[in-house]
Amino acid sequence: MILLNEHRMELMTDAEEEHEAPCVAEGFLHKRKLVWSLWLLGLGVLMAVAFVVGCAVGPAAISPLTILKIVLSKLGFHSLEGGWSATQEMIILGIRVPRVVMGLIVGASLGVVGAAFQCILRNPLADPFVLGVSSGAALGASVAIAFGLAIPMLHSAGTPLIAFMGAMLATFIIYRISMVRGNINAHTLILCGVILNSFLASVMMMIYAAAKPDRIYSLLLWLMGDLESAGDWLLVPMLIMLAGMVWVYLLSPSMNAMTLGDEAASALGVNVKRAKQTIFLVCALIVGSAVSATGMIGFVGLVAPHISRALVTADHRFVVPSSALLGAALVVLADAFGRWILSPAELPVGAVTSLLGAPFFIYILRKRARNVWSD
Amino acid sequence: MANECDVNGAILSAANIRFGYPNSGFELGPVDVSLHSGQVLGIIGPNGSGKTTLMRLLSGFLNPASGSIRLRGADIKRIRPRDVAKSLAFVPHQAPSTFPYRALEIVLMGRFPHLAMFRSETHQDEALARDAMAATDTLQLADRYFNELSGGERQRVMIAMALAQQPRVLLLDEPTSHLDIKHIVAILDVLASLANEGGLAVAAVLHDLNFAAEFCDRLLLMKNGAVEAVGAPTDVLSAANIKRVFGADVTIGVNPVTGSPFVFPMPGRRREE
Repeated sequence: MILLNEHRMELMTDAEEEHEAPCVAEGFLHKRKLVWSLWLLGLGVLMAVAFVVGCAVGPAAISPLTILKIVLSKLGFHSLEGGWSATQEMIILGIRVPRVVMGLIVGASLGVVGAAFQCILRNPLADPFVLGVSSGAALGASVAIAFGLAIPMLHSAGTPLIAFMGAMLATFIIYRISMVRGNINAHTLILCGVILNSFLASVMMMIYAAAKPDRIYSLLLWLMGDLESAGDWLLVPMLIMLAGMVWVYLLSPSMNAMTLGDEAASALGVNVKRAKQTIFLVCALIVGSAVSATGMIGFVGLVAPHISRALVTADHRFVVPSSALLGAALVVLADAFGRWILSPAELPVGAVTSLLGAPFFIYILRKRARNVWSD
Repeated sequence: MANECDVNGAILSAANIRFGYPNSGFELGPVDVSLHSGQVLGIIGPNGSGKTTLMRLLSGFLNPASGSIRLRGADIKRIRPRDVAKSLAFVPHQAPSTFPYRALEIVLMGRFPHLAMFRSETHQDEALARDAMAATDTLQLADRYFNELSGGERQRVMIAMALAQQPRVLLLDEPTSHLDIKHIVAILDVLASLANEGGLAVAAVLHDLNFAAEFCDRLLLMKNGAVEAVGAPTDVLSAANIKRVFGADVTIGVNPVTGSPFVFPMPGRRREE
């Protein structure tokens, strides 16, 4: 048995050496599985590192080891218990972990939605905010903050809930306008999004003009993206985002076919109309939840899919999970950076993602332009 | 395979179908077409005569306003899209190539309708994809990015994708429009042998009447959304038909080796003689 295995191993290494040639070797699928798994594992590790870094940054210095011990002990590794103060545990579990977990989920959502929108719109510039869903959320939040609207009993959840309602209203409008005979046309969809974005932006300008200065300041901070708001109610948007991401992932094989155009995708057995509608609506729910919970965190949704494609492949069965892991890590690291650089003041996470993301993206684009995107 | 066909032996048939694009004024039909296993049907006609629309209807991408299309005896509208795709492949005229897929990855997409939910391709799927690429002379492009290939190379990769689908019916919209003469002959040879030896039913929109005459078992000549003539190339390609449908003056000769009809253009200066 052992001999047989060794023999097989030998054969395999021989085969691999033989096929190091430029053309894709026989056993492309074998190699693909390995490469995909390794990259996803690597990105998973990156995300875990981001988690620890995100938990470690803050006014009270707590070592990464202690953080790991605290978190793991709560996850069932009771043998690790002891060696830290109650205050430390409170800071980690009560303040930092919720914030970082929210960052991970929002980042993952932005990455997944970016990949999905770039696919159904067949447009490299698409990001989660391109279709105007987020503007709807922003308008809702602006109204709530500027006029001090509050929903009784909901306290801190009031603004996000109104923002979410704004997002769904925008979704409904875009959906009704861009549906032509049951089919969503990519170009119409983008145009609708652009128009709605600028229309809602001007409505928001009017609100700024009417609002009190201090309220405008908190409004601006909200718009720039903020992971600070925490509370039990956040579980709701988190669950929507997680479920939505799983849904999008299940559609990733169809998304591959859809990149070849409606005709070819339909010839491969994809119900193109239904797939587009589903992806659009699920993504709108995800974006609505993400933006209402944390504001507009730019750039992540645009770059995470592009980086994923440049790393390995355009296959959505890889790009979707990879964009999720990458987006999660990027948002949490950007948030940690924003809290560290001006400590004790905080830089909004949305400002950091664009500040660091843009140069990095240009680097990737220049270096590996050809397999990022071309026509 | 008796259950594969309907009463008159067609594997894919359209009966009395009509279609019109809204607000365009273009009307197709009523059209009757039938595709038979083992035969290549060439669809010819001037620009705007409805060839592409007919292809889209036959593939199930468009639904006819009236009339019905039957695939292996069943109404195509009542078959799940995925099950249609298991027996019918369609190569559109052009496919967008925005995403950086490798050619082999594109061809592997042809296995999509055959994959069970949550399953990825097996080594058998890869072998089928490679065979399909070998048949269209694209195996050497396997590792190249699809969006970096030339128009003709892309076309051959898309045909390979359709072959990897292992269909019983293969529809192609101008499969040779970007190809050089070597690859036109090669692709049409592949289509003919898939039909004659593999038993597929093949229908292709072709622009070049002589290639159509040489490689197709039957021709369907369209004008203004209606069928003008259908039958063997020798019957369809008459000088009178071509004058009536295309408005071009030609004379018909014969390929000295194969005996197929050959369309010679007639320049204006010779027409008067």
